[in-house]
Amino acid sequence: MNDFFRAQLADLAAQAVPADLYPRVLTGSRRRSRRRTAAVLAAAVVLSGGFATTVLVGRSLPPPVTTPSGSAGPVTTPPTLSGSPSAEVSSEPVVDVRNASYDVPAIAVCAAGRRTFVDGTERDGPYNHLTVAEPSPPVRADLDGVPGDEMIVLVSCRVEGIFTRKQLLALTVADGTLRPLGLVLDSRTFDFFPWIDPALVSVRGDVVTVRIEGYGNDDGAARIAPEERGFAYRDGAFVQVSGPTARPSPLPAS
Amino acid sequence: MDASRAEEFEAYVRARTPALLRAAYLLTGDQHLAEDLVNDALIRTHQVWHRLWDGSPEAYTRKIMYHLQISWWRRRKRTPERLTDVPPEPGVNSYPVDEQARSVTRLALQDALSLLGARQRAVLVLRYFEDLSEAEVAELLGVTVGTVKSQSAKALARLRIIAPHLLDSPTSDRKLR
Repeated sequence: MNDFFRAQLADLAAQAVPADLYPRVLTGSRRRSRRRTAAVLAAAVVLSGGFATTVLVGRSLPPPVTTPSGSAGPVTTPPTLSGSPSAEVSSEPVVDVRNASYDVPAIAVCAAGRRTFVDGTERDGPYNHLTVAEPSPPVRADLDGVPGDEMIVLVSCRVEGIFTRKQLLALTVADGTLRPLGLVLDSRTFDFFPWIDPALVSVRGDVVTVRIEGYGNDDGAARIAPEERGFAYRDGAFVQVSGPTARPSPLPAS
Repeated sequence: MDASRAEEFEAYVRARTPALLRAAYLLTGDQHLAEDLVNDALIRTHQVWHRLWDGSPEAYTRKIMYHLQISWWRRRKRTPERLTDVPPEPGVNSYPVDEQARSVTRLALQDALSLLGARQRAVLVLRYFEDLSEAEVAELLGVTVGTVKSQSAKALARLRIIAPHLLDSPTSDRKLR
């Protein structure tokens, strides 16, 4: 083996200035532990009301994006709050998917099952756990033809605490209870681990449109020429109905 | 964490931080990013120290560090700022013999590494700086040996295009492969 390259790497590495990270590590670790404890306490407070499925009212959320549909119910407009949540409770409930319990299908190495989320993260979740977030602004539309709007959420399976595999999940809301309608991305699209920007998820009619700008795989990550793929709920499952279907080619590295 | 384990952790951090920082510096090309990377990896190590301290904590920290770097790179979706498109050429005498030439070579290597993807950079650092075998690199990164070989070959090929003088010493006819 040519030692020249090794010597140059060692020479470059020697430029790193030694630093005492111990106090910083301790502080960071304690902060992380406090956050975890706070999340558990928040979960206890939220769940002490006796709701298996938590329907929070009065949370300040941006107005949802709705698409007109003949069967859709009234547009849900969350209240705008300026004071304490307990002081001003709206009569219109808003489902907070980040603080609720519901069934989630299997995503990558995260198994299917009922999950309880607190501030978007699984409460007492397994090592490979799920996080959930709503697109911004929230996406609501009638996707299955049954009266009532569905909502689209971004679910991430956190693998080994480092990698994430993202999927879109459609949820139905009935009597304040969330139920999964299905995973939006078909297996061909999901299999190349597309980067999903929650801000670039939208609904046109009953088609969920996702803009993809890159993907990751075992060989690393790659940017692609942005593309839009559309998915619709047909015969009990989401299928791709528009956009390219092939695995995208990576852009040449800069 | 009881007192003895806390002391073990402190000793571990103080003993291993310099070496971790050197590897992190190669991965990030920046002192502050290197410190952040090592710091985050050590925080995660601290969180699970109770089940690591009598095992191989450094292997865990390094694994976390390399994975975090790849994860950060994906999230940032950008490469560090580069002042020039082309790394500086070596002097007439390619082998650096004085400090000025060594500085130029260091900058060229730093710039060339920044042009690689995070995983390719990680493979090079693990193979040629940490001296790990392909199997060990594959285990640490959680990929196959084939992926390590292909990533290593791609990275070296890229470096040969970007800055061929960094790979092969004019005094040696043994090439990296």
